[in-house]
Amino acid sequence: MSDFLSSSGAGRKGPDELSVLLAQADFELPEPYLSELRDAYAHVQRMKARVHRNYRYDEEPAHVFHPRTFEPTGGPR
Amino acid sequence: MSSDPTFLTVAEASGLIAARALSPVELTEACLARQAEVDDVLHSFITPTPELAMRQAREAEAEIMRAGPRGPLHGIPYTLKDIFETAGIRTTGQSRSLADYVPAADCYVQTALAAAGGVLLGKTTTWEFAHGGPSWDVFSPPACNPWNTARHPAGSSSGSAAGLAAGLFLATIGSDTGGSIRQPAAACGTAGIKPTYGRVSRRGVLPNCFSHDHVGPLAWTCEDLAILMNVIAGHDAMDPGSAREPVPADYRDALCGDLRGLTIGVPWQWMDEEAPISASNRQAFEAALDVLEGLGASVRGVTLPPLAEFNDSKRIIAMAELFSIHQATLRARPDLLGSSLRYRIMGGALLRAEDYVQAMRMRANLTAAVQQVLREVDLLVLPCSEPAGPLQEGNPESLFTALSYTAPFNVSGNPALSVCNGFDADGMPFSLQIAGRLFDESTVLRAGDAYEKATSWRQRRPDVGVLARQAAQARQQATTV
Repeated sequence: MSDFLSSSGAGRKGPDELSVLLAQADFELPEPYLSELRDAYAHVQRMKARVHRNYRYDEEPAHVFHPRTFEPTGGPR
Repeated sequence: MSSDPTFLTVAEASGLIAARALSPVELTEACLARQAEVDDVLHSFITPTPELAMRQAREAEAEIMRAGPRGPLHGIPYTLKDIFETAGIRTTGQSRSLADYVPAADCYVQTALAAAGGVLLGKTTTWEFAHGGPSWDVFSPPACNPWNTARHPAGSSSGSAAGLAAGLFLATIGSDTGGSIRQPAAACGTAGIKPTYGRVSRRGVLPNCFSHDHVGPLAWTCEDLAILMNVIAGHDAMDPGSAREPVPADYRDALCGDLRGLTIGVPWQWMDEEAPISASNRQAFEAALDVLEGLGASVRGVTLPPLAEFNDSKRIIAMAELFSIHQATLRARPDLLGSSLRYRIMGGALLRAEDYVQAMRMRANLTAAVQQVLREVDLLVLPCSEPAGPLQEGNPESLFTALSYTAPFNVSGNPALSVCNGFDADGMPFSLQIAGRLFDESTVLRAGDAYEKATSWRQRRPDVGVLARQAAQARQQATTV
């Protein structure tokens, strides 16, 4: 399977992946917050890897959208 | 029945009030006196509202004398976790970022409780935005455990459970995103139920994780939880997650005192292999199973998906939603957020849309698996947690690595209850968690109520004399400084 088709990106990218992800999130962090994020990074990566599975095409996520739910009810939301 | 009015259950106090043997004013004064006596050490309140409470108590008393009580909550002192918005009353979410936030409107549950004639004593201590603690770099100090103030009361509805157990109020409302009602109830020896997702409106509650947030009551007994559920359960058109499911006329109708005809499942592989419990906790749990069998239930093992999968799915979703809620504050003023919450929120910046959707696909599979098992058994039982440990700053890594026995039912949405399951050698409470079928809180409460009535655990309360002496010392030290 090529990288393009892989269901998980875990472990493929280089050591600056954190910087790339932060840039994508338009997120600039000074110290000590950046160090906190680096500490969290490895844990998040492991969890991400575990939720990526070979799901069938028709396996829906636990999202259900009921448009009537968002109809105005007359009172303040 | 306790001779101390602060240690009455809601059912007992409401019976006395209806019989005009107890005045709502006297009851409220007794709760306020207990608060003054011990809360300098317990820290169960962020914002007490004594003047409002006394006014509401006097109004309740006058109305009851004139026309009788509106129902069993009329004149009963209660509190709200400080993420529930209250008109004209500061709602901080335990965050310095909301230090001056005074909502214009009441949340749904406050509207319902006020209409039932309850007496609001104030807003209770939580972890920051109900997420990650205990912390000392937030709005106010964390609550202590009333059974031993060197221990934590768990969270995030920490002040709710701590104050309830010590008799500062008779009822309280919390929220539960991964166990935040059940774990503090477990740590402090109270009862607490996380109803089915959508059963109780989240309108006007500061969000933690939209897709996993549940609102529910804590009280001393399951009977009291049933009384509170009668008031707060039901559809709310202004909460997009609110369910259009029928609500029982009276949750107390299910409390028959036995468990005949029920089958109870135990997910032993979680306790034996994935997240082993201590020997003493296991002994207490097995003793509880004997009691449940003695009440007429049959007990057997069941297999649920790995605990780690529930926790991974929940955490990925929670981090993504948490980041979407707090990213603006995190970018502009990270110093206004405590380190524990900040650590978790920042993890959300590292997630992609694909990660969130895959975690939601995993959630769908896990939810289906739980419902399948609950076709074969009526209830699931297991502990909520170990007895409470030292009150200290949590290890940040544990936010990502600890395996929770409570989070699976936030993932699946099923109702789940914590009841007291005795005490360890240090006098700290054990817990019993009881989960049931979707929207079947009645059977969950039936089991918890029958268990409480078959055991003596409801007879024991924290030593308020010890708490009072510690609080006096704390006041003296503050004066000296």
